[in-house]
Amino acid sequence: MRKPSIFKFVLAIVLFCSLSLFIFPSFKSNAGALAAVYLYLSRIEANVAGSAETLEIVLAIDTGQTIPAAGTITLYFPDADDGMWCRTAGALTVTAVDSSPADETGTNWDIDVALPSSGTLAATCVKGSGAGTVDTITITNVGALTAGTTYGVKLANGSTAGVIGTDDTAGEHEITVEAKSGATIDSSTFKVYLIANDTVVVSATVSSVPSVNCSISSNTVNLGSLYPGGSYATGTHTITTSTSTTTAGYYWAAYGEGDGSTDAGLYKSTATTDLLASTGSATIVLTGVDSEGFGMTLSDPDAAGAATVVADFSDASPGTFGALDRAPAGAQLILYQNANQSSGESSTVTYGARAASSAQAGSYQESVTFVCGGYY
Amino acid sequence: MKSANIFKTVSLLLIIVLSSTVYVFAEDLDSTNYKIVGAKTATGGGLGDSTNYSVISSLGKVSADPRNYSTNYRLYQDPSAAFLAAQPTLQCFETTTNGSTACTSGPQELLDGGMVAICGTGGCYDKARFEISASSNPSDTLYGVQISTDNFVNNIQYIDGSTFRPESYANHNINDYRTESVWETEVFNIQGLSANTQYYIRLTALHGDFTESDYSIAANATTSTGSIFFDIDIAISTGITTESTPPYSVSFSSGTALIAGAATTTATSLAWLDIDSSATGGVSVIVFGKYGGLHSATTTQTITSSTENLDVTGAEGFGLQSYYIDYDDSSPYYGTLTATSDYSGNINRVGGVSTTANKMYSGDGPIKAGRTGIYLKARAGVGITPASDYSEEIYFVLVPLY
Repeated sequence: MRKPSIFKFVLAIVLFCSLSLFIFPSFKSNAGALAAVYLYLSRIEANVAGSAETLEIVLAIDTGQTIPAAGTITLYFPDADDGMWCRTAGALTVTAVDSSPADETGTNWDIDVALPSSGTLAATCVKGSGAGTVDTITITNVGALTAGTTYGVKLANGSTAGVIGTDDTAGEHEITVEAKSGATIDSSTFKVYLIANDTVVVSATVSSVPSVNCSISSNTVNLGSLYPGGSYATGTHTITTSTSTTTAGYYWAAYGEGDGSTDAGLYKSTATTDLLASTGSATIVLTGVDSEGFGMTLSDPDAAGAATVVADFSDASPGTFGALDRAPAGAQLILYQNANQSSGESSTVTYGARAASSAQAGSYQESVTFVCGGYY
Repeated sequence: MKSANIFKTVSLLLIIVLSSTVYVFAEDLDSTNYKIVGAKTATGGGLGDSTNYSVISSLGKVSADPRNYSTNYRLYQDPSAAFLAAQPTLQCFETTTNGSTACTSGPQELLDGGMVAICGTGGCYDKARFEISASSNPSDTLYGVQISTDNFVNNIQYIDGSTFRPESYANHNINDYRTESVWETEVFNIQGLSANTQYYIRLTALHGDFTESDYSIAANATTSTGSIFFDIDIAISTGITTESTPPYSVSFSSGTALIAGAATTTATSLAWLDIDSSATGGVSVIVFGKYGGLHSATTTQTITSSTENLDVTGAEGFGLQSYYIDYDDSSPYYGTLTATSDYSGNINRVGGVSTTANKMYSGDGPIKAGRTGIYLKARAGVGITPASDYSEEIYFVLVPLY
């Protein structure tokens, strides 16, 4: 009589176990992590709005398992970023690519082939709205993806509606990429980093070639007749200078020829030779009794400006002249300016000469050579 | 009677299934050739009777299960337990330990600094390491690893013994049982994990057919979220640690103004980049420009940028040259940061900044405390019309490779 009750008990257990298999099926996961993935954002600046500044995304993906054809690849953006990554919902331009600048040659992060299609690849971005929904970009009609192969695809604004951008907050942002076909799913969540400003602005001024323009108003100056024991005579011409704005300044130097051996000065080369010397390397004063010699002064081209006449050649003391030295080795700085001079400015060169009572009658001559240059 | 025999068989199997840790015997069980007579049990066991059936449960000999031990008590098991491999325990299961570790057989960097020392800032986001405490099992004992994200309620996978990635039960086979040595030789012996996820693992030991032990006590660890940082600074050549705020600008002006036809000019300020990433594959630093050179709206001329030697007679151009690279190389598991060949020139050899993107720096693993300095060099040809509005916008992009 107890047999039926035990039978019922066992039968109940059998039924329980059988039903359990239906109610609590054992979990067989077809989900895994991506073997390799990168997301190359063409701009990592926060708040790229997708219009004046545009964003392109290159996705490189290597699944951990084979994903059958007719699948999708979806990018899920953070819930807090709604409407930022997908600025305007709609179709995006999707292009399968077989390389990108971010490729790391010889690794899983090197795109092997362009993303295959099962039909025609299409991509759409959808804006999230509030907690629980996120911006997404979904690529559809994806062909079969083989584990161990890295595929590439580029996303850009659509021709009409779809516009993508970046979130308006700098820092880390978690993005999930999911490759799916039916129950087979591979996905990974990783971070991208946005910065407040991703741009270095380089500015440059291109200047003209530095130059200096020098001119001498006359190549000959006649001092007239000097009378032995008489007063000094003078003659003048001007030197004019200008520079490019890229030049740091200019200078003038001068030296004489004299008798060709001893000193600069007015020289009578015919017999009986004589030299009204420009003695010494400082100044020569031609106002003294029976004094003799030759020298020159320069006027200041710009008074209180940057041009400077070297003291020995200043015209501040009438009858006092700067003494010249001979030959290139004796060249002396006579005028300079440590600034550019865009408009020409002139200095008057005054030569002074005096013959002592012992001077020989005849024709005297000196060749003064001027040297002009720029500071660069 | 036939139905009664079937009933007897079914009920016996069900009892075994429902109570796998208690071995059950029928007293005076009959078969054609054998009969068990007078079975006895040790303390803790006993007989159970019904009208037609009796069971005897026995707690047998010394347990191989360390969970059955305490200071004062020891739970005995059935004698068949003596044939099972000893139940292993987990020495460690780690992802983000920083500064210390419970692991004992990993690389020295791990032992000294925890998982952060081999995965980079924040620890591992996609992989982990476990080590086995073998109990009394010999060295040729095989171990299988089960992994779950819900402590083995619904989500249960196994670790593939070759790829070290999770696999489904359908793909799990004897080849996924490996010795302790094999498992622990692989530094990251669990790979392909998801970031910011808590994982549970447990082990079984196997030492011969039908000897698989019960599962070890589970251990759990949570993968990191990954870590990434990028920053631009502008500073002179000694500004290795200088931090600056945007906008970022570099000027060729005044003393560094370009002079048409003159030699190459190097800007006084450099562009500096801070790079830090735990991405396994490393990073790529991409550079491109708005105009592809220094462009003047006034003259409509462009000093075109390209990869070239600006010292060549008559050269004209604009480009970048890597001047400084530094990163934390205290662990061989960290990546190295290198400039690509175009940007690795010396003197006045530069890499171009074109409107199409180019890779300037490459990292081949987790980059910690990366810092690079970049010279900007330009040379204007004799045909370039002077103007003060030549400019270019250079965009830098960091791409972590996960």
